Amino acid sequence: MARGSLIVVGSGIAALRHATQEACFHISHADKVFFLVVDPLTKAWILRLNAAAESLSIHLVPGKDRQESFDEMVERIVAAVRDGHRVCAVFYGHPGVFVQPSHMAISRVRAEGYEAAMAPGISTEDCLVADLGVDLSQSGYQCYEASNFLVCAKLPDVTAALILWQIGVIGQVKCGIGWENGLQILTERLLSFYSAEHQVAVYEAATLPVCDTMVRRTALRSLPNCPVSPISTLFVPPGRQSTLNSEMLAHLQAGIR
Amino acid sequence: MSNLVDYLLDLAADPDRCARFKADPESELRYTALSDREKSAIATRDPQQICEAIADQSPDTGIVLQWLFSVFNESGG
Repeated sequence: MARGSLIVVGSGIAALRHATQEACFHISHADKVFFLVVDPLTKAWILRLNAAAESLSIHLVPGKDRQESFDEMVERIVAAVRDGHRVCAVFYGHPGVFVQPSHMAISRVRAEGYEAAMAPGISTEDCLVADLGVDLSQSGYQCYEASNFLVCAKLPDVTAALILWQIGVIGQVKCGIGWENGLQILTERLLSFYSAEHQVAVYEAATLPVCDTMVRRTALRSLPNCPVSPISTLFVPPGRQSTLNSEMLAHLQAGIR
Repeated sequence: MSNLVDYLLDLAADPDRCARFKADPESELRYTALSDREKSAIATRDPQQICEAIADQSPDTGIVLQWLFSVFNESGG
């Protein structure tokens, strides 16, 4: 029997348009394809490449513990590898960003002595850079899951850009509880570091070809009035410029001479 | 596979055609084989309405979508 293996790939954010050649190849050539995607167009695209592909969505039952759902998905993927199949698992966006089951599956498969790898995909962060026209290498940047940012009392570096994920589901993902005024709480926290007039952007990448990217620019103080969804991301530009460390600058210049 | 899915995948594969649709949806939709309901959904250019129209013929991604949105609704956001 052939030895099983696992490759994890991403569908990108926009169906078909963001798929890499590598992802298409693996989906087309795998014996077993499992997928978890959030829009029906991406599902249709995957089924065009491999008609036998199976959705992992049956493990998502409303009210069921999220971790239990993830464990079931991972077990299904690992079992196919054990059976000797060349397995491809497809996840929305980049398969390694905000996708716990992909990392879990790779760890399990490797622990059992099989080959496993991940191929990168296009993430929301990639789309944000392109759509907002920001070069994150200029100021540097930091990114956090919004609930984590609050609960872990992260201290943002205001001289660098800040990206906060999942601002529409604050309190839900990490804690399993809902905060009705999550955006208000987040805004209050950010106002400790940035001015009320600081311009921020709520961003949602376009997933369907006929739809536009959504960008809502607003002063920070008005953020709680901004409509958000589970796929909203907050972009906060630097609040002020970095100051040069003249001592370090002189040290580096001395080194050049 | 539904006509709407096929139509959207064709648009996704052809950025020029997609740009023509965005500039003038009515003209682009006039000669398609889409049903009136599908045309109405796509003309809104609203992702949720379009996904719902597709999900009628693709129930399991509808479940993923519902799961995602139920997380949102439970949070009261």
